[in-house]
Amino acid sequence: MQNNQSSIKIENVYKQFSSNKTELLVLKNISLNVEAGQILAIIGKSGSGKTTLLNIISGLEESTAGKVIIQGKIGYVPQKDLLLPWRTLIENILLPAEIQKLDLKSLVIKARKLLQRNGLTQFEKTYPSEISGGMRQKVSLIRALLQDSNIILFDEPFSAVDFDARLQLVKEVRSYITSAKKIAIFVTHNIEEAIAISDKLVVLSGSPAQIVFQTNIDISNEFRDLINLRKNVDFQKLFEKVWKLLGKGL
Amino acid sequence: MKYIPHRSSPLLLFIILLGLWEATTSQSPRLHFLFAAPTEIWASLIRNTVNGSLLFDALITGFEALVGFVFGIIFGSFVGFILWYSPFMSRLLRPYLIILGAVPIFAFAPMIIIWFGIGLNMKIAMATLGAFLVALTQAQEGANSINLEEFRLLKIFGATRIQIFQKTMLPSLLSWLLTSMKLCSGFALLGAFIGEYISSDKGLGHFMIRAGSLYDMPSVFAGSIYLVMIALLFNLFIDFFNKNKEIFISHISVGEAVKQALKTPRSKL
Repeated sequence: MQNNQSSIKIENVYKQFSSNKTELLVLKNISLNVEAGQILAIIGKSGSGKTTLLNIISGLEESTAGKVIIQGKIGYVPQKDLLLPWRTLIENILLPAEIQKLDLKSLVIKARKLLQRNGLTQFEKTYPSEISGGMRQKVSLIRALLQDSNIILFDEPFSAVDFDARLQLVKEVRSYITSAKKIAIFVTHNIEEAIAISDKLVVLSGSPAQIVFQTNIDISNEFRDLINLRKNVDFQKLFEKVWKLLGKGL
Repeated sequence: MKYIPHRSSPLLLFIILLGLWEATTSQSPRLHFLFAAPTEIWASLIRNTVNGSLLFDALITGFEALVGFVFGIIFGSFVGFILWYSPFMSRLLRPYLIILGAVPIFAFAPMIIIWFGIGLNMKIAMATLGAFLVALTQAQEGANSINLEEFRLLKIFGATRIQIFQKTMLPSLLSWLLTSMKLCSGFALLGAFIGEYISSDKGLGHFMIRAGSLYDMPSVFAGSIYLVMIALLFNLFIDFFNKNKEIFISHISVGEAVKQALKTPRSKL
């Protein structure tokens, strides 16, 4: 029930950074609406204000103008896994729960189940430096999922993992978010990844960044992976459009 | 194909060099006077160890260096952290610290003698100063290397300032400090030795300067061997900490509640 109540509403948001001498407008008139069970992909070039927008949604930064209404508990999967090197994998997974003083005993059982499902059981007591980048990113994902957040923010989470791992992670994340009726905001600069994973796509461009395009993605689940997607005609058209909007051209 | 020396090669080289040293000094009285023969150094080492004088002096030097090392690390890390935390203090004190870092420890000896006398405290102060300057720089570097993204992540998790300090900052600083401890120990030992060299009635510095003034080269070398052994002991101790760094730091970062929860048997899966 609680999941269905979660939502993100952003209306006419502006963000300006001010220092002694200069004022820099980073985001201009951003409006978004995401409901439970939906994945919103935000795509834009590096430095286009995507992370600033995520910071505003997560509450780390305040918008200069506009309304931000967040209903639900927020989880976060960063670009780099940010696993603390002095904590074992399971201790890292339990970190948010430890901070929030949740019932750790039941969460340990849940964490172990998630580790088992991802083939990481034998690495439970391993330190992050001893495993591969793809495995670390999986652990970072498990850490976010364990919090039982209604809203999960992904900040270019798969940019540092190899193609095979990305292929699997995109599928798993989509399947988890849609089946558990959560909300996900997925920031990326990879067009294929954004289309494969999302229900809604937003393109941020320009300086200050504003939404230059947004659309619902109606691609059936059989094409929702990074290989089959290329065979889909709708994907090809959308890819070209986004590519042009990002100023890359074809 | 590249030739990779066998593991025993350094030992073989040592034996060859010892042989050459012994042969050369036995042929030339001048070289014998300047460098002493390895057999005589060995004899002096055994004699002064058995009569207890070298062991006593080594214990004194080791104690001074150890106390100075601990004080230096504590004070240096504290000041280094303050300088990182407060840009105001950093800007205010930076020129003085650059000057302090550029002057050799030896130059501070006259002042330290006036402040602390010529006893044990002076040697500990010299060792502390040696380790302090290194620890301060290293702590500042360590603090600069703290990943601010980790702060951001913990803030999203809802962590308080104290939790952020305990879970990421302190472990990160300790991790850096453990890595830099080797450098600090070397400088602490140097500080203690210089202190003894300037003025003392015990310690390896005193032993060696007394032997040197009597042209007793075998004993000077025997003293150096003990000094090397103290440095090696420090290194072994620090290596042990470094090898188990994650385990030590995890005790600080991981709370008791997590440790207890992880004792939940796997059969519940």
